[in-house]
Amino acid sequence: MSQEAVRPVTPPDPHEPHSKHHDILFIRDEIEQRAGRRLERFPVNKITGHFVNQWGEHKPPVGLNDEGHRPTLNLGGAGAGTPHDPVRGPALSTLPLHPSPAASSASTCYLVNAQNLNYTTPWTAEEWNDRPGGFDAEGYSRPDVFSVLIASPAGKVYYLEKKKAGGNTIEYEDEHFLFREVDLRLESDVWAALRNGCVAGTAIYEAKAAATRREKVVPLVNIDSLTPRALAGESK
Amino acid sequence: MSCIQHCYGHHRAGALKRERATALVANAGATRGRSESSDGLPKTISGTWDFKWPIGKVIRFAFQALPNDLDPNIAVTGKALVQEKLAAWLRAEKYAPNLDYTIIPGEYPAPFGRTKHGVRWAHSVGGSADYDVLISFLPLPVALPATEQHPEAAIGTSASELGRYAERVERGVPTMYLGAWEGFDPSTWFARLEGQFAVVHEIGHALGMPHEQQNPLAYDLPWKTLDEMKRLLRTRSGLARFMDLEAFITEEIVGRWPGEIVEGPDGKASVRFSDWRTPAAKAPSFDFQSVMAKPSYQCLLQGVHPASECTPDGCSILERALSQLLVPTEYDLAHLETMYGTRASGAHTLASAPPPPSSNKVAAQ
Repeated sequence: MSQEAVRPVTPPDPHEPHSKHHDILFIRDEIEQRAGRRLERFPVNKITGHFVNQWGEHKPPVGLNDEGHRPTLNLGGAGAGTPHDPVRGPALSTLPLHPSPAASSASTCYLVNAQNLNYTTPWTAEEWNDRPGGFDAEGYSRPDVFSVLIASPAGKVYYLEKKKAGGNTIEYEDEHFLFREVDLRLESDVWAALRNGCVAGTAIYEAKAAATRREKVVPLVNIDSLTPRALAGESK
Repeated sequence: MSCIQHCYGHHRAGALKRERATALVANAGATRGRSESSDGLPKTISGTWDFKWPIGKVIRFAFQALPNDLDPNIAVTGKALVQEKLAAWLRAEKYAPNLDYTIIPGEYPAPFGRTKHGVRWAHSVGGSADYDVLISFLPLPVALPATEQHPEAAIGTSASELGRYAERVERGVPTMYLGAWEGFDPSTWFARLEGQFAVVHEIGHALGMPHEQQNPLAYDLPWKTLDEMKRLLRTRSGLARFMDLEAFITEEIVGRWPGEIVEGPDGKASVRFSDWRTPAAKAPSFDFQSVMAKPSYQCLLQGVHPASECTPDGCSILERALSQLLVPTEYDLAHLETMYGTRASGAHTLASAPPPPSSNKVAAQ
């Protein structure tokens, strides 16, 4: 059977980008220099779909002619949504820190574009493992193939593609590159981050050769969170 | 007892249906099957790794104070016993799992008040210290207030959150309940075999270990009928009067833990994304050699004495079995080491682990 013929069906996403259910939580350091973290909540009115302030009052979205509207939308996403010009762009951005139009000085510091995010992925579809009985989510997985562009700090970008699923544990190493399948059994930090919904972040990779534990903290990305849905889950 | 759901209000949406509970018990003798998708894809991505602590974690245990109307000696003996059993699990001489514990000094504020049914509230109000596991010694049953996500619920028997699921519990709400069962004297609870076993067993859950008799790789056990088991459990006590016994039996005792069984490269069965090992029990016996299989459940097997002979003060099987399971067994300690690797100069190494899949090292072009 060919790969296309067995491509699994992705269940409908219960949290589409236009859904009215998307609160935002923001974690940052305490403002008054106390040790600890501060949790801010930007709730959505579940009926109107608008964000509200602390008094429950509707906060109007940024208007078409308000400062920052056009530059931010162009910065935060590209594509007209046609086959020739597909929707794409950042899911999360930290905007450039310089006095250019559409940089953080003009509009905002952090940007989330829900259009470029897949809310449910195979890592989060199944409920957390627990005793028998009770809620039963519809978990699924997809073939072990992907492609990704990785930007290095040296002004270079690398293209990595896993072309074929199956096979034994993969490991490739030369003096420039190491590509290895991670044994998740003892990488519980990596596992937990993905099962808890991490799209992009960091995790301790125990098997990394490093002198300190801090150096074992490695960037982590869930490819399926970002893979354009048309490719990630076509119906058969 | 594993994670906290043996309450009259289920935490999760969708209470277990009566017919499903009955079917699970009736099929207890069915042949164990294996499943694997034809292309090697997992059916879902989930397993016991979901509640495993990070490798190398130092778990912070905190204690909740007791209300003034209770004997303060309960907490004194309880704390001492907890520390004794933690050391038995994590600092045993022959084993060095890459996991450790620390005790947070002080206590979380004592809970106060009761529900309209007279059940004590379990949660602390106030308190700011960070912890991973919060232990309550309140005599059972106790109640948890309703939240936005969950209705009011009660804890009717010893219980603990599984591993790092404790992190998902609100601040001040205990993640482990070790108080005396209904009908037992709280002041002498920890001198009893049941009280001591409860501590070593619940700590096992807190470290990330589910019930061994629910191991998906275990042989099917010849359980009594559902009605017989309910009768026996009621006779023997240890469960609050209001508990939904049918749900408890299915979820805590006979139901197989969810997991996808696959065949490893060594031909042995394993469970995807999980740490289950081949159980110690051979053939359909209850000899799991583990504190994570409650010995009193042996009485729920066919051919073992009826309910009339199994009472809190009259079960010879229970007393003998409990006395041998007051500390983690060799099987338990070896399993913990397999789960977390071994401590070795601050780094982890695999210990007694199954051989990894054969690697396919590709030569550089």
